[in-house]
Amino acid sequence: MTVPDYGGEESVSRELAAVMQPYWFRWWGRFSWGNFRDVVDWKGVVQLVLGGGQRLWISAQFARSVIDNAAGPIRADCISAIETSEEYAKSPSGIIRDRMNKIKQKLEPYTGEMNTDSELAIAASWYLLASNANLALAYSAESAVLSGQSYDYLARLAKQLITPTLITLPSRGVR
Amino acid sequence: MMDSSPRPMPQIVLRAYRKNLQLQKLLLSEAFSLQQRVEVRDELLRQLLKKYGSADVFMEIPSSRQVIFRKFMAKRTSTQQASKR
Repeated sequence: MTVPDYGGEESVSRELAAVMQPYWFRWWGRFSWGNFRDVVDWKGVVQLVLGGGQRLWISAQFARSVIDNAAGPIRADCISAIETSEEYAKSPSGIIRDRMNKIKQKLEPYTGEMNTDSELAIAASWYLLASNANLALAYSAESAVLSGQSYDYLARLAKQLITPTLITLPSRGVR
Repeated sequence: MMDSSPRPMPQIVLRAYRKNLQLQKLLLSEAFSLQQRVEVRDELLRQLLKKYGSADVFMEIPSSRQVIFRKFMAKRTSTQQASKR
């Protein structure tokens, strides 16, 4: 039996997505985190489905959740980091990436030893600026937790932001 | 809205899935148990057969393409013939 006998790869993928969807929704509704390993494992799964922008948006909301811990004038730069990352998630471009790099350089000295709640909150924003949505997802979550947020809140937040479907069009839109 | 309040994911981002969803890798990931993988496989085959009917089963061999079923039958027939002799 070969895939072309069954309408080609796209057709079989569509059927597969439809069959997997109820299981996927069940998993998405049930996942929970108790430690960093759980976040890393979760990231390994969701990166197979979510786009870079979606992952960055979720990471930005993790960083937002601890923004009030960022003390002093650097808080404004953390907010810039979050807002610029959200902009990039909506519409990635070289111009926005340049802005992100500039903010990254500004924040870098303030992440320090990453011991205090403030430094960790800054780090949660700083990780958004790495050119890697997977890194942002795992480490913005971890920094947020070390800064005082709970894994439970972050997992619920991710679920609140999106319930990903497996049934998408080649144009990446939802069917 | 407070700076710490989560911002809902905008439509443009909600629609920006991975270009090619890695369904096979996903099926092999921890999101699916072994039992669920078997269920997905069986259900997929059921759906494909319902939609397209059965197909011949082919096997690639060097230099030509043969139907496994026919190959199997030929082998069986030649074995039967040999035992008759």
